[in-house]
Amino acid sequence: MSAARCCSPPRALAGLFVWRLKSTGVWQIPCQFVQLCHTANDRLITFQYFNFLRRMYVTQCNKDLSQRAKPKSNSVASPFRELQQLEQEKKVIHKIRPVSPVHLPLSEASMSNELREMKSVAQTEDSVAAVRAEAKGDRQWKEMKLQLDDLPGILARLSKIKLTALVVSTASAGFAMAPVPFDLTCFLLASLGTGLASCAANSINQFFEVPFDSNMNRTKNRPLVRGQISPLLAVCFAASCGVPGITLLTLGVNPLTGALGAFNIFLYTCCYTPMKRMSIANTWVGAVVGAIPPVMGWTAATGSLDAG
Amino acid sequence: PPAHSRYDWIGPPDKHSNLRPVIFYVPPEESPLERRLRETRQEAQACDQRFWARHNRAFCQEKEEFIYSRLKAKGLEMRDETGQKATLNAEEMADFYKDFLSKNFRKHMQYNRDWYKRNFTITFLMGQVALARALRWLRWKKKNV
Repeated sequence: MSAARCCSPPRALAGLFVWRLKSTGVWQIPCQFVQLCHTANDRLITFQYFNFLRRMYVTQCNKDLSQRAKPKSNSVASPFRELQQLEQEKKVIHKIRPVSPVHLPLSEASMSNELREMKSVAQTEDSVAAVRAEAKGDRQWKEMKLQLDDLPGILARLSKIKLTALVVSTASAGFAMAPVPFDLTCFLLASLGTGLASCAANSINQFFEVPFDSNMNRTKNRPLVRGQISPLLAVCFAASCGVPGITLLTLGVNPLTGALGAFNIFLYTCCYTPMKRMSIANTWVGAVVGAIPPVMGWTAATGSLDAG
Repeated sequence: PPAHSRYDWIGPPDKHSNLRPVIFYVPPEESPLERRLRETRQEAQACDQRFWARHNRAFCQEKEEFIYSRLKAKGLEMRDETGQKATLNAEEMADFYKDFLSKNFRKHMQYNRDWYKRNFTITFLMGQVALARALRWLRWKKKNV
């Protein structure tokens, strides 16, 4: 039972061990790792590679690990045992390994603690690794196929949904400021119409600006720049948002709001976006584009443009 | 990209032009319309790549020259004592940007016009191709049903 005793002291060190390796980047340990890798199972290999450059591997297998860590399966227990043994000398490793299957049932309690430690370590490293994996994946060749499960996220980014939400909030502020009794259906219709119009305008803007966006750090991750979506789909999406949005405003609220919405879309896509390349006066056009949604909220409530 | 793939493949951004190159898939039974679309896209990609690579190179070069000349005028070196690259503040850079933009205004306008024209043609052709494919699929369905 000496193996059980010698496994409990490094229990706490097991977590530290990974951190130390990461921070100091000790490279002479790789050969020991590699030896163990050949003898152990798949999950051990990926865990060892954890500390080196296979970060793509890491994200997938970390998820694997953290999923399997919950049911305390034997397959997960053994990597941790092996990892602790590395703290000690190589001879000890050779002695312990034949005995390890016997010790697994005995030291399950200690295992659970180690599992928790490992899991927390794994999770923190997972997030770091995920970021690096994303950056690495960005530099690979990707198929230009429409991924249906990513589609909502892609469309959200295409329509700049956070900006749209802010525009809708300004329109509803305009609606609230109007000196008329609050009408819920009118309010909801106006907000929805404004939101759809804004989505359409943003999509068309992104459609126009593909090569310009790819040169700027801020915008180079847009869906059209990355090729996740085809320009045709972007235009269709814009049309399918814009037309119902404007009709909703015209028929559901009042024609003046619909006209303002259409004018705003035109101003943003056909005046602001081309003008960006030509002169700095486009900033003022952009200011007008931003100021129209509150006016739209006001006209939706009152039905006309006279002041209070 | 693998040989058996039936889609276009898009790659990482180019070093100079920051545009992503696309490898187009040529289907065996390509209609003339589809061929026109593919060729237009290839041509557009080549034009864009040429323009942006040249433009970005010129921009970086002129920016370096400008910083160097300004720093020399101020009496500083390119890198100060700590080894950090000396940069100018935003106001001085604004002079450079304005100068660069006004020098290249006509070129930019020309590219802009071309880009819009190409974009619209490509999208319109894509629409036509999609429509043709949909009609073909419907006809095939009717035949089989």
